[in-house]
Amino acid sequence: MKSLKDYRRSLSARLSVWTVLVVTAIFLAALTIMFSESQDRVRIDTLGKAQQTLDGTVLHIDNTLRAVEVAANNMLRVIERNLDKPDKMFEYSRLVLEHNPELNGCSISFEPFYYKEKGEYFSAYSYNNGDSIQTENEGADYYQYHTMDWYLIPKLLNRPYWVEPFQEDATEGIVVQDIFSSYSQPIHDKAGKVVGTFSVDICLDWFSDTVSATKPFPNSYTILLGKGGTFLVHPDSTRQFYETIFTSSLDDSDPTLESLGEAMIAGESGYRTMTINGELSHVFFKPFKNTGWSVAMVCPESDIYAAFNQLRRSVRLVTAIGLLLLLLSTWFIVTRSIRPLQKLVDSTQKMTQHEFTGEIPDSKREDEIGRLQRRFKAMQQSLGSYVSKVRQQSAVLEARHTELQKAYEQVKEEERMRNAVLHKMTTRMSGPVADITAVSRTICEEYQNMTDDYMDAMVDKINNDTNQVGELLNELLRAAQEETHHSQKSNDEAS
Amino acid sequence: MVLMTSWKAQAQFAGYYVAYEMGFYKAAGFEVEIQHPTLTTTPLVTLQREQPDAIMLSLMSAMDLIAQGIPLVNIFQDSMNSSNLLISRWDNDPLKMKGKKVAIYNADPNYLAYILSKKERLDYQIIRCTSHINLFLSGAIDATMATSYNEYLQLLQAGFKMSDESIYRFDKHDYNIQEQGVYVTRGYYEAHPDVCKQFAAATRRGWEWVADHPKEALDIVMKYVHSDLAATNRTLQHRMLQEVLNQQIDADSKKREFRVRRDMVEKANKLMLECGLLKRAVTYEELIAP
Repeated sequence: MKSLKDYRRSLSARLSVWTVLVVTAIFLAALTIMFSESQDRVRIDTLGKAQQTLDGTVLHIDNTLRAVEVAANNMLRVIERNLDKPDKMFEYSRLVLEHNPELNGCSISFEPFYYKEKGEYFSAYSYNNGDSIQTENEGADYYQYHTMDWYLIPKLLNRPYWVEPFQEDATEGIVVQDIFSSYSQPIHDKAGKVVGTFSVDICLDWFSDTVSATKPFPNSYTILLGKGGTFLVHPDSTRQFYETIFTSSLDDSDPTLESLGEAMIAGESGYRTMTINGELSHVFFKPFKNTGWSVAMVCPESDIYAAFNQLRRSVRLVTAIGLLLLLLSTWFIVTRSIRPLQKLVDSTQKMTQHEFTGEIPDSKREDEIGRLQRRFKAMQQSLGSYVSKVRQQSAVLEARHTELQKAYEQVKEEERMRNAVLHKMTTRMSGPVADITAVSRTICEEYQNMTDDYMDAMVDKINNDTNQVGELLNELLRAAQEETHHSQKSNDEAS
Repeated sequence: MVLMTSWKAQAQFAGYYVAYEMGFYKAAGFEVEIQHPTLTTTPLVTLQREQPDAIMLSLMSAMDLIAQGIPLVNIFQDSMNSSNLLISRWDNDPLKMKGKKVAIYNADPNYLAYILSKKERLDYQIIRCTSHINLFLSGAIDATMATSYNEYLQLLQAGFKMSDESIYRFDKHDYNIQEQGVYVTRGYYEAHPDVCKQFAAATRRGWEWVADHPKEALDIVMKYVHSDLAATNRTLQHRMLQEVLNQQIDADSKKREFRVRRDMVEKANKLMLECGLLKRAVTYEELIAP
C-alpha cells in the first residue's frame, strides 16, 4: 500500500494536485466575482420586492380607511344638520352600519345635558354583531363615555382622530368582545361649538388579517405599532397588545430597537438592518397616512437570500464534484501517459545491475514519451551490445592472463627445478671435486712418500671423480639444451 | 370576604394574591374572593350595590366618601407615600403650565391635581378620563396625573422621553399623602371585626412574603394578569412590583408599617378643606378600625 510519502513522490499525483489547485484558484476567483455581483443584484431585487409588498399593503389599508373616513364624514354633515332631532340619532347610527358592513360599531354621542330632556348621558350606539344590528343609548353612570378616549380625544383636539385599538370589558348594555379602533370626530353646532362626537368602529381583525397576509417570504412577518409603540399586530400573540416595541428595553437597553421604535412612532418611512432574535434581519417600515400607526415588515436575511444561497450551495457542490473528477481524471491520464517512464525506470534500475535485457516495448507514440522510449530502447540495445563485447574481450584477456599466469608459474617452477638441479649437480659435483682437490693436494705434498700403487690409486680416484664431474656437466648441459628448446617452443606458441 | 381591587390585575395587588395563593387567608379561618373591576363595575359602583365587602381606595377618596355620608373604615393600608406625579406632555415644568389641560383618573380622582392647581394658582383645566396614556400621547391634554408604579412606567414603555423638569413629584413637596388602602363599610366592619383584623394580618403576611420572594410573587401576579386578560407584561409588572414595594416604606421609620398615619390624615383634611374638596373634616378615629 502506498504511503503519503509515495504519493508526494509520485509525478502523476503531484501533477494532478497542482492541476486541481490551479483550476480551483481560477474557479474560486471567477465564482467569487460572480457571486458577489449576483448577491448585490439579488439583494436589490429582493429588497425592492419587499418594499413594494409593504407599500401595497399600506396603500390598500389607507384606501380602506379613507373609505371609512369618507362615509363617516358624509354622515357627520347629516348629523350636524339635524341636531334638533335627537331621536333621529339612533336611526343615523344604524344607517351607518347598514351602509358600511366593514364597520361594526357607531356612536353619536353628546355632551352632558346637551339635550336637557335626555339627561347627562346621550349616546346613540349601534353594533353590528354580524347577524343583526343592535341599537341603544349607551351612556350611564356605569358607562361614563365622556371620560373615554374615543370621546375625549377628538373633542379636545377638535379634529378627527383615529383612536388606538381598544377592547371594552363592559359587562352591562351591549357587550362587545372585539378589539376595535374608532375613527372619531367632533360634532359642531351651527355656532361651531363642539357638542359631541361621532365615532365609527372597525374591528382590528381586519387589520390583523390584512397586515399578517403581507408575507413576501416564507419566514418574513409583519408587525403593526400603535402610536404608543404597542404591538397591535405581532406574530407572537403573547406580545400583541401586551407589549410595546420598547418593553424589552426597559430591562435591557437595545438602542437599535429603540431607534427603530422611535422612527416608527414618529411616522417615518425607512429601512433598517438589525439582529432580531439572533438573526440578521431587514426591516422595512412605513406609517399609515390616516391612523398614525406604523407597519414594519421583518425579513430574515436567510429568506432574502434563500434562492441565492440554494444556487450557491448547488454550484459549490457541483464545483467540488467537478474538481474531484478533474483530480481523478488528471491522475489517470498522467499516470497512463507516463507509464512507459516507469518501465524505463525499471530498466534503468536493472541496468545499474548490469542487466541490459529489460523488456521495453515498442512505442508508436510520437510525443516526447514515445521518442524517449524509442531512444532509450536503442540506447539499451547499444549498451547491451557494447557491454557484451567488453565482456567477451574481458574473457579473452582473462584467459590470456590465466595462461600467462600458468606460464609464469611454469617458468618459476622450471627455474626452481633448474636451481634444484644445479644445486643437486653442484652438490653431487662437490664431492668428487673435493676429492680431486684433496687427492691432488695429497699428491703434491706426499708424492715422494707415495708408492706407485698408491699413486696409481690416487690417479684412478682423480679420474673417477673427474669422470663423475664430467658426467654431471654433460647432464647439466643436456638439461640446459632441453630447457632452451622448450622455452623457444613456448615462445613460438605464445607468439 | 369579597375584595375588589382598584384596577385590573397587576403587581400593585401582589400581597393580596400571595395571601390567597399561599393560603394565609384560609389559615386565618376565612375565605377571600378577589375581584377586579371592569369598565362598568368600578369599586364605587359596586360598593353602592353592597358588593363587594371590601374595596381599595386612595386615602383622599375614602375621606371624601366619608364626608359625603358613606361610612367607610380602613382595615388595611398598602401605601405609606404618595406615588402621584404630574407629567407634562410638552417637556416643560408643570408649575408653569397655567390654565392648561390636566388629565386625572375618573374612577378615583387625583385630588392632588386640584389641590396643586388651587394652591399654586395654576387654574388647570381638569379633564377626567378613563385611561391616561392614549389621551396623553395624542396631545389632547397638556399634562397628566400618573402614578410612579403604573402610568409613569407605561409612558416609558411607550418610548416617551421625560426630563426631570417635566415631572412634578408630589412626595418630594409638601403633598405627600398616603394612597391605596382597603375599606369596608362601617356596618360590615361592626358585623365582622375579627375577619377584618385577620384579613389585615394575613394581607400583611402576604406583602412581607412578596418582599422576601419577589420573583415567586411575580409568578403569582402574572397568573392573575393572564386570567384577567390584562394588557400588560412581565417586564412592566416587575418594575411595578419594585416601585409598589418602595412606596410601602415609611419615609420616617424606613419600614413597612401598613398603617394610616395620623399626620397624613390631618394634612389631607387641611389641603382638601382649603381647596373645597371636602364637605367636612374626617377624623383619624373616624377613618380607621377601632
